[in-house]
Amino acid sequence: MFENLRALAEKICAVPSVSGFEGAFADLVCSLLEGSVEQARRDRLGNVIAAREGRGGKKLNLLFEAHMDQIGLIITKIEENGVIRFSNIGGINPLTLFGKRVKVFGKETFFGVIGMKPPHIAAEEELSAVETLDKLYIDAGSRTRMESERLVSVGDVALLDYHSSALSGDHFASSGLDDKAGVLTLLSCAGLLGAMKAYHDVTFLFSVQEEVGLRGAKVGGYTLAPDAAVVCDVTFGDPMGDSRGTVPEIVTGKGPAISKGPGYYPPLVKRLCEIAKREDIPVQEEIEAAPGGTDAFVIQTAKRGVYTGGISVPLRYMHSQTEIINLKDVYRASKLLALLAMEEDPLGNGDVKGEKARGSG
Amino acid sequence: MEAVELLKRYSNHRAAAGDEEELRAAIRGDVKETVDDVSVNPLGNLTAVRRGKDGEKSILVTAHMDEVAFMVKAVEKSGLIRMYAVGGISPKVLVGNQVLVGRDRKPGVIAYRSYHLMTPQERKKIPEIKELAIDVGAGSSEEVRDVGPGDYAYFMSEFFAQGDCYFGKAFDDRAGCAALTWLLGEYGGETRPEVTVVATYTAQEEVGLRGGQTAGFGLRNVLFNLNLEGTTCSDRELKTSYTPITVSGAGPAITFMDRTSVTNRKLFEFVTGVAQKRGIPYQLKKGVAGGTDAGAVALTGEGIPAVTISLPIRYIHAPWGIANRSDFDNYLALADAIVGESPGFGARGAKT
Repeated sequence: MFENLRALAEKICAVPSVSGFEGAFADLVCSLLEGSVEQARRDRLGNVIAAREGRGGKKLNLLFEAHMDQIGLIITKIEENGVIRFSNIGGINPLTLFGKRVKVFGKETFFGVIGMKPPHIAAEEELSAVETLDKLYIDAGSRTRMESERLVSVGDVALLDYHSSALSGDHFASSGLDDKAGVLTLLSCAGLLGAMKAYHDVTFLFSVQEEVGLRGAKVGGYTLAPDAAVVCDVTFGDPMGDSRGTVPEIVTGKGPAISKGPGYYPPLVKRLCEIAKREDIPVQEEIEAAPGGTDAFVIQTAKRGVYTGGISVPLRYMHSQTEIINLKDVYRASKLLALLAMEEDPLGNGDVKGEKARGSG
Repeated sequence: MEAVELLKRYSNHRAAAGDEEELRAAIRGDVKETVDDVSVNPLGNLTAVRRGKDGEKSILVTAHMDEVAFMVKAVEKSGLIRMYAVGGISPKVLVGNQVLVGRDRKPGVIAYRSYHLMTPQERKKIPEIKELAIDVGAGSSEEVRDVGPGDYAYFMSEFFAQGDCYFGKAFDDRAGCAALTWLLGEYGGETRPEVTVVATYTAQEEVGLRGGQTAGFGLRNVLFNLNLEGTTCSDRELKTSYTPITVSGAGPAITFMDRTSVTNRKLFEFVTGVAQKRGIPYQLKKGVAGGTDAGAVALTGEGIPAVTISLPIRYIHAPWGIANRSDFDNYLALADAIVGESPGFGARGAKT
């Protein structure tokens, strides 16, 4: 099952989109949207904005959002002996770096290894130390600074290397699924809507620079100031949980998680749950007691405020190069969004015309 | 066949201690046409014999087949697979690796909880292997019925060449295996070596030189054992007070002593002499860490003089190692020269 979705996932995971360097990925998103939206454009920060017109008499402008960017590495220095120093873009887990291969997007694309001393010669303290990034280096095999400078410049970006793999039971492993799972959900939703005319106007916002401070969505939310928005990101579905046992029991493959908490407009949350129940779409709940983790935080407060909801794709091992999602969850999330766009009363509060959202001015 | 092609194929094969069959079958296919006899002993060593012009004397050339990898300990209810290391792997290089597990080579990842879910203390320490798990995307153990305790898991890394370097897994000791097969190829067809070449690809080196202990058994008139290895290379330290064990690009490394052997002095001088005479760049392994099959062979029967020459490999025993192209060429040249000059090393000359 889900061969088309998997092919699409492989395609979008093959193109890097490190925060601030999303250009090529944005091009890909625009090309994948062709045929299912009326127009797709780029704003000044690099966000992709794609709109579809609805048919409803009392239609609202709904915004569906996901961030395009992924965490990565940036080259900071090249040493005399040719090794390449780097820093992080976004929340890199140092544990995922040691001994790994990286793909550097320099003057040409090349590979290097973040080298570690082997157990034969490393001291006990070295084997158990979690070094800070400034102590690490990328070894691309070059022996002098000049040799490395032919390949790369300071300011170029790199990613921990990965393969996309189809795993058991429609699970899919790759890098940057935070939030390419959300991008995939929106692309799938655009595809589902492609065949029909939705009731409401739908704008898709594929934002930049979420991982470095929710930046694209701040500008995108302002520009678009929708009547209501649903933000599509990922949430923790780790089978290991955490050592404190405080993580809610969200698992991959059992449906997307609908976000609840002060960041999410309760009638919209309720509406999403009702649609899921009515259409027999399995969903889970994600409790976010304090808002701030996703783009929903800045969209909610855009201009005079936006009625905001959140749908999260459960994901294992967030911010590693081998994140895992379940494609069933992506499909279900996209279906839920498409159905929301068909509902005459998506805010579930009788505010069909979006009067409350629009106000008088 | 081109030696680098052999290195590529062999390093991509998956073979850990006790699970060498995949590589052994490939090697057998590569050597069977060029040698006079092929056999496998109870430990899994593959021995290929090429008889020399001198019907009596022989040399034993060894390389080990096994790489460091993992063995499945248990499949948990959650579907997570817990594992042991087979050989010396530091847990430090594991989180986030992609692996292939079980007979069907199922893709999976080495998992540890999301960074956000780690406590501040957890973020400051390297988790032990028992805290990690292989995740094949299952929701329960029901979905992982084709993987069970005792199955192996391997790094997914695939060989590639870039600039002056080769990148890949298991160069320790697929470099030796590749050199050995290449060497046998040099003596195939009409060509015969002066003395009989007993080429033994050993099993289970990484878990205690186990194949090596049986490699020299029953051999008569062995001049010496040439052991072909891959060794640590720590030349990226920026401290000037540090002497690297080996330096990449400085040629194959000759061992004078390591954790399991002190090289027979006459043999050591013979080997360095051959390198000098032929003008082959070489270096001495400046460190005594690690042990090799040479240590086990040296103590076989009445004793066999044994020497190890190694290809320097940066980041050995990890998912990605780096070897230098010219080092590999000189490693082959040195191995070839030692075999060629071996009649010059007296059969009894080792008793010093």
